[in-house]
Amino acid sequence: MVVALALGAAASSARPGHAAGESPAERPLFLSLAVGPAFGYESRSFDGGSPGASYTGWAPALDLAVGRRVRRGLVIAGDLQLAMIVNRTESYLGGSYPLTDTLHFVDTLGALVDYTPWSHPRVHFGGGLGLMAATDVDTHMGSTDTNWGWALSAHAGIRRRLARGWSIGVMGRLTLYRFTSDTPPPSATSLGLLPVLLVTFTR
Amino acid sequence: MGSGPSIDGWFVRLGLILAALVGCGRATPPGALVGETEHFRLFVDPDANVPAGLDGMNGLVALETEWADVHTMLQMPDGKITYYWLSQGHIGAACGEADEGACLWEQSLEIDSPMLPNPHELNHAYMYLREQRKPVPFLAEGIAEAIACGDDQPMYPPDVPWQGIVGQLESSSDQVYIQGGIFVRYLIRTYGIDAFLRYYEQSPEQRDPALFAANFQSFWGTTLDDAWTAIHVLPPGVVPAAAYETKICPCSLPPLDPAGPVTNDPARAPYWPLPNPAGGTLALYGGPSERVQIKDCAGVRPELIGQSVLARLDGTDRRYVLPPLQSATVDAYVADDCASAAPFVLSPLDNTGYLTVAVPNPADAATVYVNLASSFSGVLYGGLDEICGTCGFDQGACQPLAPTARPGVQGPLYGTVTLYRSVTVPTDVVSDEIDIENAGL
Repeated sequence: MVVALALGAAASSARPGHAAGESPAERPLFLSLAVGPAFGYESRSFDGGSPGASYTGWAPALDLAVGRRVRRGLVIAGDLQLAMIVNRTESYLGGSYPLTDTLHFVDTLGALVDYTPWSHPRVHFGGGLGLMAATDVDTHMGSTDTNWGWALSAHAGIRRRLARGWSIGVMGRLTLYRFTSDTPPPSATSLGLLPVLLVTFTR
Repeated sequence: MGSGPSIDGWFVRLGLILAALVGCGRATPPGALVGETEHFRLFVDPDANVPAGLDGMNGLVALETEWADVHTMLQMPDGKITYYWLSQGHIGAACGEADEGACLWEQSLEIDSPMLPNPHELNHAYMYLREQRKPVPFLAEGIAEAIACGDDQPMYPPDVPWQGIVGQLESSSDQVYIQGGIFVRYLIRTYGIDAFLRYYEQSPEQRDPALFAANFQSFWGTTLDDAWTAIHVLPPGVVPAAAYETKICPCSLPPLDPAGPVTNDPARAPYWPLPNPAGGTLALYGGPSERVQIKDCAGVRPELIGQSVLARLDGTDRRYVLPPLQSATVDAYVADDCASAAPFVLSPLDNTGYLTVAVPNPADAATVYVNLASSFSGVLYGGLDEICGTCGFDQGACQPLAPTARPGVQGPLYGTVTLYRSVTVPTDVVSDEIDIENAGL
């Protein structure tokens, strides 16, 4: 997280390169804060043929992006998205089992590209690529387990300008991620989808 | 410019506040320090119910005896466990939950319990000493319920789907304890304690049925479904083994010395492994208002119970007897022919007294002889097929008793007992009860 945000900050502190015709109101520093609900779906398969399972659950999500407007309408940023799925439900062999007193964090950290078309200045869309960490926390037993993988995301949203260069908006993001785990055996591969609806505050 | 607290000072203050918050809500349990041994520090609540033989330093001796016994299975490293022996009324406050029966505080390795020793909480502590990890409650409670030497009774577990149990919290259902205990004991009996400990210490710490099953299959090479079926389902007509299934006792303490009078010392001898009578019969007497309980070390065979027990066992399957015992002797009390039967002095009759005779499982049925050598007068409610004042059975001098007859009998006498092998109970011995009650009652 620190590395990505530092990259974003470094990008923002570099000498801004104004593109020809750039609006004077468009600052080189891009900063975005967003919060909203997410719904996690994850499937897990095991090496060795044991039956896999799928998991679903709701999560609060938080997103922070820091970057730079490299040219009109185009932003490159470092992005950190945190989602905490509470008490997931496991579907396994036809049954559903609540995973009570558990948290499943799906945290992604990567680079983000966001584009605002000249013709539709309220609309923006883009995508990202990065690393992800899946952390299971048992709040009752106190155990934690973190596994690493990668994440791809796509987003689109609208925003409206407020005062002092800030904008407020709504954005939908769909994150696809994959991670593997080796302990405890057997090895397992998890593939997840995390749709998020975010209220964004952008500057 | 004023001088505020340094950064270090703020950290110290924050640390103190956090420490206070963590410690909030739990006062030190009541109890006076009794003493300290290699593995235990014992505090006893003045209101605790302390039975005879466990008072004072005997409590610590009892804990060390338990440690030494269980150590033969769990091989836990040395450590120091703080044990608060509390009254029932103080347990809720000590454990932080009103309905807790006892508890272990892992970080401080402190046990709060109204009994001593408490095998369940001690097993938790021993496993924590082995490795500080957090297996799912199904396994953690399972091993805590797996090892003990006492008078626990079979639980008759229902064949419920394991998927719903392995992900549960221990507070969700008694099934986590019951099914977990049976499951762990099955694994220990089937694969051995060393293999089980290796499995336990690599098992998932997430309460996830799919992961639990995949890990089980990965480790043992068999499916959890198959293991569950082996535990819960037996061929039709056979009584499920679980009907007799109880906890596993290490049986590593010194065996009973069958030299006559027995000294009961619950701190040093909470049970006695049965000695191998080498063809003889072990006669155990619990006392006029006590009963003898002989249990299976592996916890899979029915217990033998009686006011007195005559056990002619071959010693291949280990058993132990619980205190109190008044006497233990070995002689040919149960014989295959009348003349060889050694005289056995029947304990004073009362309305609950009965004599249990046990021999190795015969092919079909076996008749054995007993010589009840004391003077008594009572009513025979069952167990003896024939009685005779002499060994005149072969000459037809004594008639078989009708199955429904309840004749008055007077000792001394000789008797025959016919023992039948059960087709529904998997056991290595057969037993029958000679039930003679005081004629005046």
